[in-house]
Amino acid sequence: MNKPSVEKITKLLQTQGYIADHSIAMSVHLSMLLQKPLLIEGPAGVGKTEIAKVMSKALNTDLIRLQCYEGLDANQAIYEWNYQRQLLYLKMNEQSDLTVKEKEATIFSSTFLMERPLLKSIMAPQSQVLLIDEIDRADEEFESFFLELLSDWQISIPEIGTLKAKSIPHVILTSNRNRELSEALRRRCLYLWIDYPGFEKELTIIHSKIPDINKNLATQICRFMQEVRKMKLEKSPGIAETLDWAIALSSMHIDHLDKEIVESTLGVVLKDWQDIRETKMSLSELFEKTGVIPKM
Amino acid sequence: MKTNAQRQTNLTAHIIEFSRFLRGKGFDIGPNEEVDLLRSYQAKVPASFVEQQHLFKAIFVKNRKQHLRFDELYLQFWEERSLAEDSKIKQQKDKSPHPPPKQKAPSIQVLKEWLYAGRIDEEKEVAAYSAFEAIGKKDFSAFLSGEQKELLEIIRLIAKQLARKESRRYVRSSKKKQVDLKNTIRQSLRNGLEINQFLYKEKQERKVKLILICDVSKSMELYSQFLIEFMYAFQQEVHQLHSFIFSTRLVSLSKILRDSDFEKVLNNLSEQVPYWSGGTRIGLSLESFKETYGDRLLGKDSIVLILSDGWDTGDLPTLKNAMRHIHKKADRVIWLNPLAGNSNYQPATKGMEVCMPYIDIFTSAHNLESLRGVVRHLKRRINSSTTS
Repeated sequence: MNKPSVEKITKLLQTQGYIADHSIAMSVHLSMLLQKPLLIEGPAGVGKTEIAKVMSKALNTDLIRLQCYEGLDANQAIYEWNYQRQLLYLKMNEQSDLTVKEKEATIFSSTFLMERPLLKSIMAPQSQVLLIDEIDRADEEFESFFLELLSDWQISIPEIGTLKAKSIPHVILTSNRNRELSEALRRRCLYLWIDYPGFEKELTIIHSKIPDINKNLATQICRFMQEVRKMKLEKSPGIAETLDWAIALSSMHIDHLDKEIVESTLGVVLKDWQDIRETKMSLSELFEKTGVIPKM
Repeated sequence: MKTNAQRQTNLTAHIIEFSRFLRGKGFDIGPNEEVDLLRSYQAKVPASFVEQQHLFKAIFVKNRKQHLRFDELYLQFWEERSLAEDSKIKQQKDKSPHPPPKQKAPSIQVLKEWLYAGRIDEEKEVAAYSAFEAIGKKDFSAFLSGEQKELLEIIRLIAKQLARKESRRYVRSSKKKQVDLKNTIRQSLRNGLEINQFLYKEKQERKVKLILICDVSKSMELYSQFLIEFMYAFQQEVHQLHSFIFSTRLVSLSKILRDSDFEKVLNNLSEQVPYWSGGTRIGLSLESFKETYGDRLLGKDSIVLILSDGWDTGDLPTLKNAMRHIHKKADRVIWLNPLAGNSNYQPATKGMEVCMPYIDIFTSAHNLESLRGVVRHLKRRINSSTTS
């Protein structure tokens, strides 16, 4: 199958409302060409997860998502036997003439196997997009479960044997860098760092997502966000917050920023009360830097 | 005119040369990456220098540090290459004409002075009815190395309490709380699929990463012997411990303290760590901890233990930001303050005031009795947090 070129990927993503710069499009292209997982790191809210979502839409495939968390294990990520059903089967067949071997073969057959996201993604007849979200939240030990899958595209199940992939999924891993990922995992992936967007890119994103927004308001929001991100905040706002704010202000038919509006809607942008307090205290300075003439 | 084969050879040579260059700069590049690059060239040759840069970057970069360095190194490599090609003379740059200045090895005297400064003479004797009590109540400003065993025992208890954190994973249990169907069925396989009894499971205790940050500035000089012993004992007891000291800057001691010979540890400390008894820059030191080690060490499985009197001569907003970050990222922040043993003590130093909102457990650590108090305190806090 022909893999789409960098230009085609840029366009495909754009049709789904994702503005990708050249480095993002190149990484997605190479990930598909070389059939290698793409590990995306960057601050929260810059569109890491979104890439997988728009890829699945653009490629017209399902998105299989594995949301990682502390304590996640192979049973929830790869496969699990349906123990309740196995137990019932054994109880129902206690008096049957079936031999132990026959019973064993039945309870460890595909009928009793529950496919979890990783197994599901390689058993699909066509390549799917597999999103392994926030891998840094899973335990370090859990990463080793991925290694066989990501390098050989197969999963070993002791009772059945090795299951080879019917199709190789497009794998996107995201991480917020809550902990360092192992070298073994990194080696198997292509790496992409996504930072907060620059002014031009952020403005393009706003216009693409909210076509009806007032131009002046969009420009002011972008300038404001660029300056807020320069502050030493506990949690800098991402593009997701910019869009939420722009949608909120636009739906209230606001065409420019002023002190009162910013103060009353800052909770959409910042999610930490100390960040909100510090930003409110620096509002005049922020307005000055962003060129907004505040109506007091 | 160059033939295709020649171009191919040149390209392979360039890729290998560039890979070597990056390897020399600390990038972990193997044959797999080189093959990936050639495969992507086969699919499509980059249309421009910038596109080629993006291609190389996507394949060779594996983490953020490399991401930040790559562009500069890429330009440097091709610039040097084109210079060499143009002139046909390899201009060997004298990259390091000046060897890095040799750091003067601090003498063991510096450490000894810090360890024993004006203290032996004023050793406090406590009249008590048993030797055990006497050790227990003696202030650490008069701590003797012979009391190590007792200290080690208490630290073992503290470590045990700190390591008690329930995981989401299960282990087999004798308590009949939750049926373990998986292992019940597995066991039945051995009995001809007859289920004679159920097996049970319970949540596993989680491994906790401990981070110990000790203040060795001038104001902590009185407690210096205790600090060294405390850190050493902790390191011997807890496998996943990361120890740091600070006065005006932060230094990692984990490697040094891992040695089982205490004398050797002291020698290594005196040779490798010149920062004893300086001023106090808690803020800058914690900021440096956050920047250098934060990503790797801080997480919901880490407990940060700070041992300091909280006197800070540095920038308070920096201290506040660093504490806020550490508190947010770590599971718990415990502050042990030797001064808190005094009944009149109030955490009123400016540094301490700024830190208080970001401390989960604040308690004294001025004698063995107070350390036993830490164990009791941790038991209560941890039990209440698991039941709530």
